[in-house]
Amino acid sequence: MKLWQKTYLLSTLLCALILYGCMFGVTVPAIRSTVNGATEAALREEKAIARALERTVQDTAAELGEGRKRAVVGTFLDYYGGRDLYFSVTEGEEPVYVTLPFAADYPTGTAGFLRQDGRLYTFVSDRLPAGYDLIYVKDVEDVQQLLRRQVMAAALTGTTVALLMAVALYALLYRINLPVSRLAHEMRTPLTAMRGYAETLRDARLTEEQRYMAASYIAEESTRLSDISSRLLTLHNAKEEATSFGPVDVEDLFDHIRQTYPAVTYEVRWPTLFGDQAMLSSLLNNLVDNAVKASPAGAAVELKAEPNVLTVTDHGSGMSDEALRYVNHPSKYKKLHSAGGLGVPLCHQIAKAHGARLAFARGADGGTVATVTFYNSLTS
Amino acid sequence: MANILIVEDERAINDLLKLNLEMVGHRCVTAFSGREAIHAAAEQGFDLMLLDIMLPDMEGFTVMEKVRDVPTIFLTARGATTDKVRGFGLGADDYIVKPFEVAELLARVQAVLRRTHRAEESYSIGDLTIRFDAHEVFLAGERVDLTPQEFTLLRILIENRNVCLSRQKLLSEAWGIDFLGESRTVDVHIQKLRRKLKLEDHIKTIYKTGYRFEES
Repeated sequence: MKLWQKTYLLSTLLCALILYGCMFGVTVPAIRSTVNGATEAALREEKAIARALERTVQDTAAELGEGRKRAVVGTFLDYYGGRDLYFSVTEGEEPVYVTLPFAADYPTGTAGFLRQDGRLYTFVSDRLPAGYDLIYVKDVEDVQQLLRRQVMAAALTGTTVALLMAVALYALLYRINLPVSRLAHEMRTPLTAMRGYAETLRDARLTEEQRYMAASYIAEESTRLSDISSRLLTLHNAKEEATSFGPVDVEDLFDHIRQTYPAVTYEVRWPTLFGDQAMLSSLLNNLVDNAVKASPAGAAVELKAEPNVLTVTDHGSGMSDEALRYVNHPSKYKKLHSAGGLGVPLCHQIAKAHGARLAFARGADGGTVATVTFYNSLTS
Repeated sequence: MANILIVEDERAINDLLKLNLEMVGHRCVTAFSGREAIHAAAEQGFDLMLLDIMLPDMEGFTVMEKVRDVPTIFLTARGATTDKVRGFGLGADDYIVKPFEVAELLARVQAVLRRTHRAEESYSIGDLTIRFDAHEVFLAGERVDLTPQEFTLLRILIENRNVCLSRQKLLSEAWGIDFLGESRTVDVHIQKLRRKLKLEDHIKTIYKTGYRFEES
């Protein structure tokens, strides 16, 4: 596993842990307060029923006499009792009205929870001033279930959001880290050569000619290293958008490239464009370099600037379909392709930073045409 | 002296390998692509192939599948374990990851040549003849007795002829990597070799570094 992947995994895991810790911290008090609320509601309801019952019994007892008291209690509690509410009223040891779903120990003057047959009940046991013992039992399993469902839904939502964020972050980090790893890989060749030739110069008995060759290779490969280093910097700038945009003289830009590649001919019908001189120069250098490499010796490479379009045309042998697919969409390929190497992904990035699009196509004579089309150019 | 095929698309590294291998007396043929390598291997036999994995036209693995019966050392910038496993699965003899040390490369090449019995069997210089297979040394027709340690040291010097070997390198190669002795040991053995075999002109002391076997 690569270092950045390890870092990513660790930080994501930590993030998820903290997220879940917070969720737990919020959920548990919420559950607790809901349960407390249920108990308090039960207590309130019991008190209200008890008061009403007391009054009714007192009011009717005078009119109807003791004998009818029990019937009054029954009628009254039948009215309140329902699907999830049960009562027990006893006078001394004698039951007056009992609808309890199960028998249990309800100490007088207490309230609490009971679990019976997989359902949760809350109860209040009270002694009324009239001499009755009232036991109030309420089935709260449905409330409990609802609460559980809410917690599950919250956890599921949290997991989904965290997962989505993790995937998005991974994709981003992957994109950022990919080109760097490719560059690091590309640096190995010059490093190997430089080290090898230095060791050879130190240890071996060389002729003057061989000594010259070894030294030349060291010089040449160090140029390549510095080239990679400058590409890294450009890549960094393109990534950080630390660019200095301004008007760029196209003629100047092309002239610069002709100094490195004498075989280039150019035509300018778009005198100034808006962009970053260094990045555009790097982009064109890369494109022209590829074009020159693909061309037979001495063949011309044409640079053309038309309004909003820059083209680099070569008359080389052209690219295979596979190579064309790669150079047009290098980000879709995991492996470094021999066509264009690292330069091509960088070119795409530079084009993107300019609000432009880079495309490669086969030219009329079989060569390759690279087109940079600027979509939101600020100059006219 | 072995016949070695170098398959590497980077000219700088290809030349580096060729320079050093020829320095110690091997014959080299260079190839810059997989197709060239397969073509070269079809034309003549080789004792060893140094094969880069990332070639422009095909993977080194493919070349290896097509070129049979040539001991192969993979040479690549990829150090991934899966690549090593794949290489060894195809019958590679060794695997060197870039950037490598030239002395180590030469040592590994020799090791593979010895293991596959393609190393040179004897070597002659002046009046001196060394038969590596029989562990015998003759000076002007007379057998000279060498201790096993002296013989190993001589063999390593000759295998790396024209290349300077540090005392540390000689210690690790001839005495085994774990030897924690004084590097004086090397000097003493070199003196003995020079005296017994009259090699004063050939085993050169390289100031502050080590020793080098020179043919002329």
